[in-house]
Amino acid sequence: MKDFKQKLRDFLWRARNTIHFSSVRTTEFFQRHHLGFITRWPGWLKAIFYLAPALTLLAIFTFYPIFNSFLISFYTGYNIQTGEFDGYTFLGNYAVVLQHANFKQAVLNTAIIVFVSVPITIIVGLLIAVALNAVKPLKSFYQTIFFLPYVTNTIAIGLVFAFIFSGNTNTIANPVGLGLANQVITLFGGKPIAWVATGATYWSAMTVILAYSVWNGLAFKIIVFLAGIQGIDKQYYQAAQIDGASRSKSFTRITVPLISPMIFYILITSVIGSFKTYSSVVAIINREGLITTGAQGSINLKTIVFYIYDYIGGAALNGVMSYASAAAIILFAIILVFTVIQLQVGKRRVHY
Amino acid sequence: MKRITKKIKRLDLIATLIDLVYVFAGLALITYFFIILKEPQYITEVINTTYPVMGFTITSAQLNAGISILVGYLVVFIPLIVSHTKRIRNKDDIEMDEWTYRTQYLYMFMSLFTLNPFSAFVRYLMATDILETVQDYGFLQATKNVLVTLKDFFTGKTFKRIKEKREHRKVQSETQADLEKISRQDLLVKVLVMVATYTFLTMIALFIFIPFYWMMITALKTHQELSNAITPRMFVGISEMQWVNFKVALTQFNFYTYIANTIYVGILSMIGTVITTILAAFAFSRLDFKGREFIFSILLMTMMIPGELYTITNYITVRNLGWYDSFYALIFPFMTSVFYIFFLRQSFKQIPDTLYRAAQVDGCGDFKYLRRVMIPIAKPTIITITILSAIGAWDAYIWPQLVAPSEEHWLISVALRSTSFVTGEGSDARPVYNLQLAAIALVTVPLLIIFFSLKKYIIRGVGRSGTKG
Repeated sequence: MKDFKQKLRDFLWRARNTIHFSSVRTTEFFQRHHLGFITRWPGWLKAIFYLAPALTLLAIFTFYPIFNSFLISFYTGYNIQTGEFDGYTFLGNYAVVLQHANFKQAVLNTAIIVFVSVPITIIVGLLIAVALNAVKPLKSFYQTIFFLPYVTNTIAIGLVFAFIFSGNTNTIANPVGLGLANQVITLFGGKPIAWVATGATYWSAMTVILAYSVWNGLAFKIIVFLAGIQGIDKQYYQAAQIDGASRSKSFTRITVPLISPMIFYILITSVIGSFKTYSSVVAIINREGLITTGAQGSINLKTIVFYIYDYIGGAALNGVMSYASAAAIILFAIILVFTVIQLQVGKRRVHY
Repeated sequence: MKRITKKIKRLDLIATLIDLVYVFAGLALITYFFIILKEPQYITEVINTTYPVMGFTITSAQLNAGISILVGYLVVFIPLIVSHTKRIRNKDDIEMDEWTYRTQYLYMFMSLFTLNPFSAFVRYLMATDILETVQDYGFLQATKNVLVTLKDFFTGKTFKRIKEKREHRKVQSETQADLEKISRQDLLVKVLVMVATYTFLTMIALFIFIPFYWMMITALKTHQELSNAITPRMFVGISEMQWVNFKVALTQFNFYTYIANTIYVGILSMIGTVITTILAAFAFSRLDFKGREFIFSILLMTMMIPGELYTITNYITVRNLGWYDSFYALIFPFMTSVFYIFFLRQSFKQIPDTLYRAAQVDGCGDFKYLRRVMIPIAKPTIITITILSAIGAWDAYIWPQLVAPSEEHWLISVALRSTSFVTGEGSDARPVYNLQLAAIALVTVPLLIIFFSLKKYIIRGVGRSGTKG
């Protein structure tokens, strides 16, 4: 056995030497004949080995889908089981989606969420970060509390929000129970409101969604702003103090300009994130995104993403996926336009 | 400043070990209590029976109170033990000041109150030891000092001293008095600003924290209370806490299965993400090949495109691959992430290139270099990526509910939204909120525990650049 092991080792050693020797000879040969680029292929091969797992997955689940979704959006009568389709239409699917009343409503709902919740979260987040930076005792305690929403399940706490705003006796017979929110309202002498239950109005339900968006979005902003503010040199503030600048002035003239890159980054990411709102509406309202209010019909609180997933849910029908793709591309276009506008404005306003 | 001695460290170790034994006993007891908790026949029922526990018979209320007390004990003592263990394992010298022995006395009283005289005794020895090292006097002298201060206070000596000081100030020149006036005004403004700041922070902290509190408190109430009371209670007595709700949520609503599913999917996709990300980030940061920057910029561009665009085709792909309604569909699409590759590449790039050259000269292959040098150096970032991808799996809702709609493949988010926690049928259906919130708490609390234990890594990762909008 020992002998065999020794022999094997010898053989491997010899084989390795042979390979090495021949490879060195080949390299020399190529280089002598101005064919050096051939010997560089091992670098490529190595890169392929390292990149293969990630790139294969990305190719299947990221690159291919982008092109394919564009293609699908031009088909008519596309069947996902067989992959057959009736023919092409250039912008027909887009026209159908854009003229759909539900889509217009979805764009409106999404726009409200974006234009109300994003400014509020950014301003409040900035104020909290400044306040956190000013205190010393209990700072890490507050920081921990403010960070909690980041590590929670969106659906789970959304359901808790729905419960807080609906009430403990929320049934069909008695829709206006006293949840925590209504209890606070009655404490201040107001009238309880049916926030998201039957009998709700559009704005009451929207208020809950907005409150949840703010609650959910604050954590991330506070952490980024705080990191930015802590990086500002103290000397600026001392100089401002000597010159007699007030607190508000040193906030608007020193803090805001110096962390404007962070504010800008947060603005872009949170606008994109808010345009893609979905889970919070599912958690607070329901999976249909509709509140039925008896005789008046229903309140539609679907966002754009909601609209897209409604189509995907009915994927068995022919041609439905094309509408979904068209809607997704319209969403992409909207996001792209907003991002470009922000980048243009940012060029002038942001101090790097 | 005095340093901690070996003797104090040994005492600390003994006390911590005793605490550890107690905590394990507490854990065992709580598990036992949960096992013997009787589930009601019907979900809204409240059970009032007696349980034989180790020779005693205790009522439901007593059992509930016991569980509540044990939970409270564990919530306080497990973090304490963790922080003590960290301090014992810490090789650096720890400096002691007068607060060190005061905290030890506090721990002593805490141990006494939790029926742990052994640990309390060791803590007492430790505290006196620290006291002697720090102040150069013992416990007796300390008590005497406290008595003297108290005596001064009660005989009015303290007030007299303050009065003297004030009179002394009056004698000082007028300019001094003016200056003091200005500084006092300054102080007033400062105090007002501080009060305003703390009020603001506390208000926001309440706004953030109330959903968690409300979740826990509602999960512990009975269905009868929730459906009958017009104004819900803000607090629940420890003997009224219905711990059985959690058991019902786990068993009768199958949350065992859903949590297990999520952990299974989460761990597999996490392992996949970490492996593919490390390899790709290494290639993008160290290997030289043509088109490296080009491929990388294409990857970065895909980060801008909304995920819904992929979802449509991925849904078709998954159906064609026959993965519809299986765990494959939940795992494979999430085995890699452009953002994490970008994130890890940044920290790989900070490792000096000379290290790589030196390793090459020493005959260290690329893979070995990656394994032996780069991964250990970039470990914090890799841990951050691991945690963030685990959180991502825990939070996933849209994709799972689309491609795995059948009940045995539900992940927790889908389960929370799709399970109908109702009693009665048809138009009589009434939501059972306490069970729903118990299920929500079961989903939320593990993540919070992970967060508290790995806070450093998560905050660092997010502070640099975040993923959640």
